[in-house]
Amino acid sequence: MTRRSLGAILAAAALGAAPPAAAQTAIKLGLLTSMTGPAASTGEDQRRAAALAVDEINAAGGVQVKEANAKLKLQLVIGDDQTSREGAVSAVTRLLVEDKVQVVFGGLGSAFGMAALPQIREHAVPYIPTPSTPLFTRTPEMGPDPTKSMVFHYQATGLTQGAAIADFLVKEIPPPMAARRALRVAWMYQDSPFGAELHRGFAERVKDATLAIEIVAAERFRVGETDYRSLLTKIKGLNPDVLVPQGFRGETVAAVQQAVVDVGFDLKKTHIGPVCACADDPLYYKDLGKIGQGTTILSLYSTYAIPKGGGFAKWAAFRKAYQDKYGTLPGLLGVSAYDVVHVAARAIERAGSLDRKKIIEALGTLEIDQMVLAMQGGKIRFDPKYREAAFVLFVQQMAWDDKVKELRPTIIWPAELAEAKYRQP
Amino acid sequence: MDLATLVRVLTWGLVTGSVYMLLATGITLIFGVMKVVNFAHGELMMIGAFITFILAHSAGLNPYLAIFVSMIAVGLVGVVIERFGFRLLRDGEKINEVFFSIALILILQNALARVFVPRFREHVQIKTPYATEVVDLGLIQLRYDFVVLLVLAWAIITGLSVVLHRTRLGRDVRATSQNRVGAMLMGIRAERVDMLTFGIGAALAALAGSLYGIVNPFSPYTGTLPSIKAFAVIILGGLGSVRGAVVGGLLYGVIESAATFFLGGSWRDATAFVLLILVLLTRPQGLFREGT
Repeated sequence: MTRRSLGAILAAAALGAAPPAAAQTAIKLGLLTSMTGPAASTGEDQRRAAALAVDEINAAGGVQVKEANAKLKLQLVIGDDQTSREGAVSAVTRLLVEDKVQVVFGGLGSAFGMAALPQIREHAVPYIPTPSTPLFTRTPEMGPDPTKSMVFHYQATGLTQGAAIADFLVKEIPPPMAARRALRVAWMYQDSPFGAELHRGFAERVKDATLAIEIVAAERFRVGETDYRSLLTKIKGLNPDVLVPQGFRGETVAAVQQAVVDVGFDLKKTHIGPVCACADDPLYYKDLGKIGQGTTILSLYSTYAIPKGGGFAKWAAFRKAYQDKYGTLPGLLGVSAYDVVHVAARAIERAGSLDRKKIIEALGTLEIDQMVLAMQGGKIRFDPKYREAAFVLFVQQMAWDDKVKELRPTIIWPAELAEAKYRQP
Repeated sequence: MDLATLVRVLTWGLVTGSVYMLLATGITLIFGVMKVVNFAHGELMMIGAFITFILAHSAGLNPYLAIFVSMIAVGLVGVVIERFGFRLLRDGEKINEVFFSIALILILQNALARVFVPRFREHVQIKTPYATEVVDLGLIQLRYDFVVLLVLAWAIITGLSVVLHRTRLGRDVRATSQNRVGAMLMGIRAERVDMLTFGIGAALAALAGSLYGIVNPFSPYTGTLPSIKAFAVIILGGLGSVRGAVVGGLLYGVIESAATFFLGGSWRDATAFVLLILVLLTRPQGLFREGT
């Protein structure tokens, strides 16, 4: 090795830059998610699904990188955010400085991904987050944020989900609940960017489209709350037609159970749902139990149902591969991580380089066939203004299945994907 | 607000307050006798909840019987923590005890998570045979589980009060709490009292955790916030005062419930702590100043 080349390597190491492609035998993808702490099980779902995608790509030979003139294998590196902001900062620092990953992706808590964002910006590393907050690529006023140009958001944002909930309710619920007046809707949502943006998306759609919906309550609860009885007692006193509880899976299960069993919401008079797409996970159907009959859930990926149409063809094969390997079914965030590994691999292939700047450019112009999650137009692309992917959303209604002794979903909205119509309990 | 709604809000407050009461009583007993603040009390609460959950769901034991097994088991864990932990630190700096109990939080929390999260994932709840049965109390209908929770919590606290005031063990505990050296001079084996008190406090935490887990979902990390509130309760009620822990716990629960109802869920935790600050400013010794 010449003195000059040794000097160049030392200089690159000192600057924390990624080593040149020729020196690398693998492409490092950094999964920033919660492997410990209260959200560890969802993090494990992401790790499993991402590992499945990595194994598939490596089994097919790896990713062709033009600059390296070789097919390189993917290597999954885990950054555990410990379900905390501080943990996210520490984990992303390690991914960037020690592991020198080419791409950072994944996550389930918006707050943790957002905490990692300053490091992402400083290192200008491609970042494909999977939590829902639109703040990953937007300003607090929801405009485009050019300072986050390395971020490509692969999840239905809270704004999109909130708007879809409004569209569903105004279309499907008024005749059974409020035929001749505005639908009285009560929201209770997690006091976090995630919850606030879902509510904002809903309220803005109601206002902008002048929907016949009256928001009678917008109550917030602490992240991780387990006792909703006093809040629900207050909401019940307002006689809403619809109760929309928005939280993570455990929070949602507790809120629905307490509403029905303890506070006495009558599902014939008050519809409960749609709850957040992030709750769509095998445990949601198991934990909610019989009392969840008739409630609804908004989804991008259903644990058990498959919508009509060709856009969902890959679901059955993906479920089988995941179940064969891990003995359980994936949830939405696992599926998202699986897709993103494929997205990152294709972007690197298109970039033909492990240079972060070139990968960011490739992500910006990427247009590939959808993976597991169904996309608007059947293609994965990040819109140039907000760098957000656009997903197909649908609503499912729960019914008790006596054979498996668990709830099972039926897709009821939109009409082109629906298996059945909404049924009032 | 109609009367039925008022009764509901009060009931939810009393239910939560009863859990705080049990936790705070355990903490204040331990503090009163040993002058030790065990920050890992919330983790003992969660160990208790998980033992009850396992006994009920895997061994098929009635959850209400399982609670008593859990109390004994966690009581023994408490005895071990006292004997091989706090006792060894007794003659050192107070800060060592603080760091020891903070280390215990991390060790117990992560041990629980390592054992339970892969199997049960995030949250579990103890299901009783009466989970959907309700009792009609006139103004409101209440699940049997809430009635049993209130009765059991109060029965145990009343029993503890009898033990503390009517038995030799209780006299030893109170004497050690009031004057450790004096008690030892009178022949009371203070270290044995320490061990027993820690065991009783831990058993009360197991009871609190199990009752909490019957009416709410829980995870290995759930104990932290209730235990912080229990510390606030004993400051509110007066350090070392069992009566203060009981009244403070119930008051705290009711205020939380009322704050949630009138001000919203975001105010739930804040309001009770605002009350605590007000009490500290106006009556720094707490509402009840007394020995155990």
